[in-house]
Amino acid sequence: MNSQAMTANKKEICVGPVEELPEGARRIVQFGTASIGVFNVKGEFYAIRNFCPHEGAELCLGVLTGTNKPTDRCGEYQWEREGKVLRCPWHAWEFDLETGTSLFDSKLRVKTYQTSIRQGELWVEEKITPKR
Amino acid sequence: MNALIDTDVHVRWEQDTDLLPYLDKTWHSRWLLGRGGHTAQGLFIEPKFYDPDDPHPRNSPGLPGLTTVNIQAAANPATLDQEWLEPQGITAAVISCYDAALISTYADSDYPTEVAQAVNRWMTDHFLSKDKRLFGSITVATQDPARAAQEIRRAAQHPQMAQVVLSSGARMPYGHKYYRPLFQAAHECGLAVAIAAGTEGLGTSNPPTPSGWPGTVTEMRVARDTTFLAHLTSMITEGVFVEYPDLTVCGFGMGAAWLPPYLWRFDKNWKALRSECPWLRELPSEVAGRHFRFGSSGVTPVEPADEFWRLFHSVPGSRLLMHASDYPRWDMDQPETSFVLKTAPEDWKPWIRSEGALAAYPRLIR
Repeated sequence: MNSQAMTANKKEICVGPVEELPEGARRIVQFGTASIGVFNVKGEFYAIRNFCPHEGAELCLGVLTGTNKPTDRCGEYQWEREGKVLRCPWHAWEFDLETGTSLFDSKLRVKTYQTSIRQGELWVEEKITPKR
Repeated sequence: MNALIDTDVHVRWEQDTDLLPYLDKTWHSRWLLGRGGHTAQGLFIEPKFYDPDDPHPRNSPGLPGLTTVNIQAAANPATLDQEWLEPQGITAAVISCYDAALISTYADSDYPTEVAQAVNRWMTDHFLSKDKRLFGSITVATQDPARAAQEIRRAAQHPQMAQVVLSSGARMPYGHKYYRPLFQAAHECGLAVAIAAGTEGLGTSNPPTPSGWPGTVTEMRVARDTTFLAHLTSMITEGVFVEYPDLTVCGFGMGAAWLPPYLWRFDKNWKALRSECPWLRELPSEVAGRHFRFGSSGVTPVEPADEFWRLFHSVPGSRLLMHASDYPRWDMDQPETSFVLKTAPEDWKPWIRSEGALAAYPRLIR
C-alpha cells in the first residue's frame, strides 16, 4: 500500500487497488513531500496537487463540478466539463481537473500527474526533469 | 488655445409655464400645481431624512445667506455664454436638466413619459438650436423602457444630443434586463449614458443606502454613492457592455477615488465566480476602465494629491476622469481651482480637459 518507487527519470506511487476507488471517489495521498488528490471520474483517473495557488487551501477537498463556458452573448449559458472542474473549498477558484489550469487565467496552473493502472493497481507518476 | 470641455453643466426653464407648449393639455394642471411633482425648487419629492435647508424655502427673502444655494441651473444660453463658457474658455459643454431625472421616481408612467419629451423638446429649442457648443442630455422616464427608448431615438435626431441621463436613485440596479431597451437605443444612436447623483431615496427609488434610511443629510451625502457602486457592478456583471460594446457610462457627483479599491474586490470575486456570468470574459476592472468615466466635480480633494492619482494606476487605462464643473451650482468647480485639473499628472491633462469627453461623446466630434 502506497509503495513509492523512483527511477532516473520518474518517481511513482501506488495509490492502491483500483476497486478501492470507484466512480465518483477520491483519495488524498502523500507523494514525496506533496499532498495530491486522486479522482475517479466515470472510470477515468486524475491526479492533481492538493494545493490551491491562491492561498494554499487543500484544493482536493473542494467540490467537483462543471462550469459555464465563456460565451459571446449576454444571457447565454453553456454548461460543460461536468465532473471535471475542481472548485477550491475556500474561495471557489475553478481548476480544470485534467490540465490543472485555472479557468480565469490560463497562465495559472496546479500541477497534475499521469495515472496508470498496472495489474489492478492505480499508479501516479511524476516525471523528473534532470537538473542541470 | 487648449480645448476645454465641460461635461456637466445644468440648465433649467425660467418659468414653469415655459414647458407648457411642449406638454399636452391633459397634463398642464398637474405640471403647474401637482404636489410631489414640481415646485420652485425643482421636481421635488419629500425625502425621509431631515434636511436643515428644507424648512426654509431656499430663495426666501428673509434668509439672504441661502440664496446662493438656490442657484442650480442656467436659464438661457446667453447667460450661460456670458457667465461661463466665454470667461472660462470652454469650447464645448454637455448640458443636462439634472433634476428632471426625478420624474423616473414617480409611481405612474404616462405623465413622466410626457414630461420627459417636453423637457427634451424644450432643451432642443431653447439651448441646442441656439448654441453649437452645447450638447444635450436626453431625459427619460424609466417606468416605461419601451417608450423611453422611443423617446431616445426621437430626441437623438438632433445631432447635438450627446447622452441619456439617468439618476442613481432607482428601483433596480441598471444591469437588470428591464433597462436594456434604453441602453440599446443609446448605443444605436451613438449616445453616452450618464448616471447622476440625486433622487436616491426619493419617490419610488430604493433608500439612499443599502442598509436603510440615513437620518441626516450628512449621512445621506456620504453613503448614497453606494447606489452607484451597485449600478456599476450590476451593469458589468449582467453584460451590458457585452451587448453594447461601444457604450460609455459617465458618473456625475460620485467621486472616483473609491473605484480602484472597489475594482480590486470585484476582480477578485470574478476570478472565483465567473461561471455565474460566463459572458464576462475579462477582469471587471478592464471593463470598468474601458466603459466608465467620471465627472471631476464630484471628486473630493485630498492631501497630498499624489495619493489620489496613485490609486488610478491600478485601473486599466487609468483614463477615468473628465472635466466637469457642475455649473452653476454653488459648489461648482472652476477650471483654475479644480482639484483634478490642478493636480493631475501633466500627461493626463489633455485627456481630462477634452480628449476623454470626445471619446465618451462621439457626437462632440463634428
